[in-house]
Amino acid sequence: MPVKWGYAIGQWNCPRREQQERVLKVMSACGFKGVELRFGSGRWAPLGKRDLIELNFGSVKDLKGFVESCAMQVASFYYNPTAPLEGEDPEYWMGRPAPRCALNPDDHARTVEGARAFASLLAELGGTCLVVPPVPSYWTVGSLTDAQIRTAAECWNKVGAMTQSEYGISTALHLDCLSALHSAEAIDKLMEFTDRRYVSLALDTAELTIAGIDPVALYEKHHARVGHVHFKDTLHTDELSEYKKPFAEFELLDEGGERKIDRWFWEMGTDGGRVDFPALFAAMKKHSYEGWVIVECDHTANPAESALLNSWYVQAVLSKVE
Amino acid sequence: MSNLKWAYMDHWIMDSARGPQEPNLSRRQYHRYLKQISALGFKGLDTFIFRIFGRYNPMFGSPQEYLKLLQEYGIEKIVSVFDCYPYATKDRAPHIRATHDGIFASFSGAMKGLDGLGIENLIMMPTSTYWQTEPVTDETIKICADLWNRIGRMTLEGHGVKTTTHHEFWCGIRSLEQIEKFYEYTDPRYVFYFCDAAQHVIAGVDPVALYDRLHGRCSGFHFKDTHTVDTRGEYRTPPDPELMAPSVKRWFWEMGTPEGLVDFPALMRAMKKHGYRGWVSVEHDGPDRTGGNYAESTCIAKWYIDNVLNPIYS
Repeated sequence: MPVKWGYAIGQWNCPRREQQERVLKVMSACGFKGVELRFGSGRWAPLGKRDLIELNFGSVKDLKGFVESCAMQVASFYYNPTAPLEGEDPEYWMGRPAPRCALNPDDHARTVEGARAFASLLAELGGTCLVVPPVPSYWTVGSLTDAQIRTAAECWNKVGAMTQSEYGISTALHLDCLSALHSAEAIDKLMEFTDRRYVSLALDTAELTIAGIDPVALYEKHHARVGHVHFKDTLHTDELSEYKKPFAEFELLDEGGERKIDRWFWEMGTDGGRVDFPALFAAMKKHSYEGWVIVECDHTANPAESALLNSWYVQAVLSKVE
Repeated sequence: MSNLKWAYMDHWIMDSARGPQEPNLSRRQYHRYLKQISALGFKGLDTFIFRIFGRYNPMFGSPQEYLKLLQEYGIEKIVSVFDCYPYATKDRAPHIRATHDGIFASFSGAMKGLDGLGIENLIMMPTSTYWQTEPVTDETIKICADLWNRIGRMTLEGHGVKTTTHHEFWCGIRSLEQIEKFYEYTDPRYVFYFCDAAQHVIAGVDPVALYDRLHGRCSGFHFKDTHTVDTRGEYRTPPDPELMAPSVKRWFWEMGTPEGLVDFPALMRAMKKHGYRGWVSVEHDGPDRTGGNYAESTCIAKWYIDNVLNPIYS
């Protein structure tokens, strides 16, 4: 089965229905078949979770029909369990993480139930993969011991077993550039401690590259466990280890860190891009990767232009990779 | 083998370090533009004569080198070049016979410079603005027809390029009666009809019915849409109805918007009925005037082609 190409909706701000329709049609015209939705809460996230979908579309089934009317399908859903949800989590107003942290055994049951809400939603939408960050940002918890990684793995094993057995949804762990799992060795541990029957790895090219982890080498090592892929490029790595600083989401990714980097994520094919996509894609073909490749371009000034540039790269470069 | 090939009419504004700019700001910008057109599968480009000589020539070395660049991105050819004299001047005004020798000389020179590119059409607006051309009498139309007959013969016999006329809603030959008179006065061997769907709808002319009548002389299409029929006579607004009409900021829209007034499916059915084979160009100048952008609008138009028009005729 060939790779299935999808695109992430997170780059667009599209509260109105006609905006959502145009976004999906842009993706479709660019040759992408699936969309990755992103969790969210409140009035600006009409696609962010079940009750908001029902408020805006009437039912989950109606959203599915709407997506399909644009010649697209839902591929996957990105969900961060520690992000508090407006109207549900009291932590929302305080900016504290919700009590669904995989590092805390007391949170595991709530984390499973949090994931259940999105797995069931995704199943009704016809998607296949729930994408989740396995641990919080480094600056909030510091470096992890093997015992902590094992604790997190136990949580995701429970989540993965639930999503797979009850909803037919795979669970893929997505490591971003601020993650407390910040080395190839730590990822090796995570893979060792998680159950391969239920938990896979979501490989994000730019996030790993910024964190100083080679996505090609990581894929070669763990190809049998990679169940989901995000393709985006970056021009920089976090050479100053600023992921360790407080509020790194703001200070590094938005403020730009000490080097004042305005934009971290770029389209494939951008001059100076750090990710070797042809090498990665060749490895994926060699190992017969089956699943979605979700292209994304957070930080873009023009999401439609980025989608077109990414589409060109897929067609003109990656489609020719042997 | 497809009956239709899709081209893109060369309007685009994109973000740059200098704010919104045309792609021809720099070669780097232009490559970004071509990637986007190429990604959507367009195989042809329509552009402007002034842009080829004034910008692409210095950017890429020659029109031929420019064509090679297009081909590197899978764009086979420049299908059509557009030109017009939007504002009548003492030296350039198609409805003033005394200017014809000068206009003819200009196009003779331009066509020599474009030889060898494989261009199929020279698209022309047949007059300048309506308000400068009126009163539009039979004699006015006859004078214009004489000019385009002369130029059409030169472009076709001398360069293998069809001269084809494109009726802006604000030009002097815009109503059904004027258009029919114009094609009666022009020589079908040398002057062809170019169907711009939105321009006709704005002018209150049904493009499907007009194409049905003129299909034997039709040498191409601009598929763009509009949300507005000009019921207030704003086509006569001086100095420039397209840019400065009091009640309409944006006349032209991409295909596929809910408010669109052009019946593209009916036009496609008519093209199928008449066995049209050749290029169809997508156009939508002006999305940035209302906060949109060309990348998104072009995707929307292409989605409409793929999902609505191709099932009718392709």
